[in-house]
Amino acid sequence: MSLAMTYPTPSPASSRLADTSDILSHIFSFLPQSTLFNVLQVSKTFFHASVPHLYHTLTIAPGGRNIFAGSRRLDNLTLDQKPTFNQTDPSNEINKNSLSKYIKRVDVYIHEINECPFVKQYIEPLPNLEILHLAKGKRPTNISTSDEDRERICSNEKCQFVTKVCTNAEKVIVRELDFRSIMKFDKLEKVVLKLRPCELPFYRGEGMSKYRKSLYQDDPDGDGGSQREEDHDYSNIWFRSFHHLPPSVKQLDLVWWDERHQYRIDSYEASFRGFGHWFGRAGDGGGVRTMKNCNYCDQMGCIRYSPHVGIQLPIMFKVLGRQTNIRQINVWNFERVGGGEWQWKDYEVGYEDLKDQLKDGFKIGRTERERAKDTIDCSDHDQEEGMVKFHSGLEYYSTHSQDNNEIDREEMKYWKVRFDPPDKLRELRKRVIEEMEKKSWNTTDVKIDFWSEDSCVDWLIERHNAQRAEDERKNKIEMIEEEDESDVEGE
Amino acid sequence: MSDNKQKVILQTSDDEQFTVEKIVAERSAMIKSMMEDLGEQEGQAIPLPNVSSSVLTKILEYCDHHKNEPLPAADSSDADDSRRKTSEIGEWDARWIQVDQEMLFEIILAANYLDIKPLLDVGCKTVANMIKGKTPEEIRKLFNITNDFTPEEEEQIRKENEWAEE
Repeated sequence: MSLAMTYPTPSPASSRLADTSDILSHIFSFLPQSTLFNVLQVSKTFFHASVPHLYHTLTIAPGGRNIFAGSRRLDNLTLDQKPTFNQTDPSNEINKNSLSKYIKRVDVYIHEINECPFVKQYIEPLPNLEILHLAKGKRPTNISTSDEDRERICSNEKCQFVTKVCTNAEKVIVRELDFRSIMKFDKLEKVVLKLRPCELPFYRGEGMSKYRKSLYQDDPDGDGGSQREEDHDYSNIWFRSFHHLPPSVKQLDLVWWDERHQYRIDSYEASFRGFGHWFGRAGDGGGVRTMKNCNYCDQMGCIRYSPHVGIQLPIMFKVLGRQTNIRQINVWNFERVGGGEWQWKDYEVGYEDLKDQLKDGFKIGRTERERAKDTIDCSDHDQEEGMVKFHSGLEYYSTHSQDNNEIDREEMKYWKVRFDPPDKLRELRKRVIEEMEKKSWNTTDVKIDFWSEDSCVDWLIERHNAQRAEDERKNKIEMIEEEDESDVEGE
Repeated sequence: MSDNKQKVILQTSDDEQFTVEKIVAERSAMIKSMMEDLGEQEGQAIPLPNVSSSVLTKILEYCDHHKNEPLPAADSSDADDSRRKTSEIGEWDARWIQVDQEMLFEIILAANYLDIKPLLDVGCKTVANMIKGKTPEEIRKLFNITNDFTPEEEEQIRKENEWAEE
């Protein structure tokens, strides 16, 4: 038996499709901005289906397009003052605030002050902003590293577009340990912190004490052996702190990446101020070639080995437990920071042990906060115990490589090298392993999947040179032996 | 008979009946849900009043080709997250979707009705690729629609969005 019935003859599919706004919206989601500009002029239905896509993502970058163009700031207006437009005067510029409700995501790269939209226009806080990505990036090429030029850069808490317009963001992706620009975001729930291992904070008190202890570990009564008063000092020597995180933040995703400093690097020459031996590598000009926002590095390589993650990370987690309201911390790609022996020097600790130390550190910090309730404002704090979870880099790549939500094009190169390498890199890695096997070397601990194209090429060149030197040496020995034999025969 | 070899009867808007494997029919979340509602009533045809036999024939070809692929997650339809999606189409799908325009639009409407997300994506990407590079007037012709803006509205839209113009 069927539920057969007769149906009216439908209108042409093109007309029915053009009247179905959710399908139109789906089609328009695949279109670039330039096409969307034409689409929204087609009809009212098309306008309403396409405009959310045109305004969905706003990118502020050097030379980028300004979607607020057309809503000019009045000359006599101060930055905090809302303009009043005479709506009946057709000469008025269009106020874009009505369109800003469609903006769901903002990507902010380092830009010049005069490229910052908020400097040119009055813009109300974006009401429906979901994601703010503080993308950093290289400074514009027309800006030198002089102090004067540095003032022209609009970034961090100096960017008023971020501090005044993006305040409703629910999630922020940030690429340095500096939360000052988002400290007044009262709807912020989730922070994704993309951190190079070398950008770890350096905690003055306990960090320095443990560092000393690590130096004198063979001498338990030495300089670092006893608990000191300064151990309770959680201030970070770099003056960046988690207490700038808004109290509304409940989840922190800590994503380690770029341990070899190959992406988004901005470096500059700094005068040597004697901060410590880790700043001891002088550049050509007698100063220090420093990677911007990198605490321990210069261009010649990372010197994060001391004081390193094994000391600083547990303290950082203690600080997170003590100074924030975070309930859950997801640590991603930690095997690259905690797992490789290239991260360690003075203070060796196993990967699993370090994970336990971080969990314990967070718990201790939370307990300390509860104990100090009388002196710390805990009005919004709950009693729930925090959670620290660890996830692999592969999990991160699998989760985020498709949606383009947290990984942008520049960062994607980093993840692809490890988890989806191009054929050329696969071939180079294969050659490295073949060379090692020829020599009967143990390849089980090589972790070839972590090797970049440069690492493979460098290793193969080095191996080739070593082989050639060895061959030459053998040839010389053979020649000498032949000469010796001929001498003996001659005698 | 294994569960996957079970058959389902689908009845189109022009009263044709199609007997198809359950695993093929289940590519449609809508049909899957109706099958669950009908339960054990075997032999009961599932009516598809918005799909003609010619369109269903074409769609079943697609479903059969993809029948062994994992079904998309139920919550994977967030249009807001779709802004940065690629408009690339797989090789087989691109060949399969080479149909006349009216059939293409029918397939999209049917994919939407039947709730077959990957198919909806293929159809919408194809139309998006057709729209690329076209003027507003050419797009109107493509969809057989008229311009319902006043000249003033048109001017305002052009002005406030001119930042996006090539």
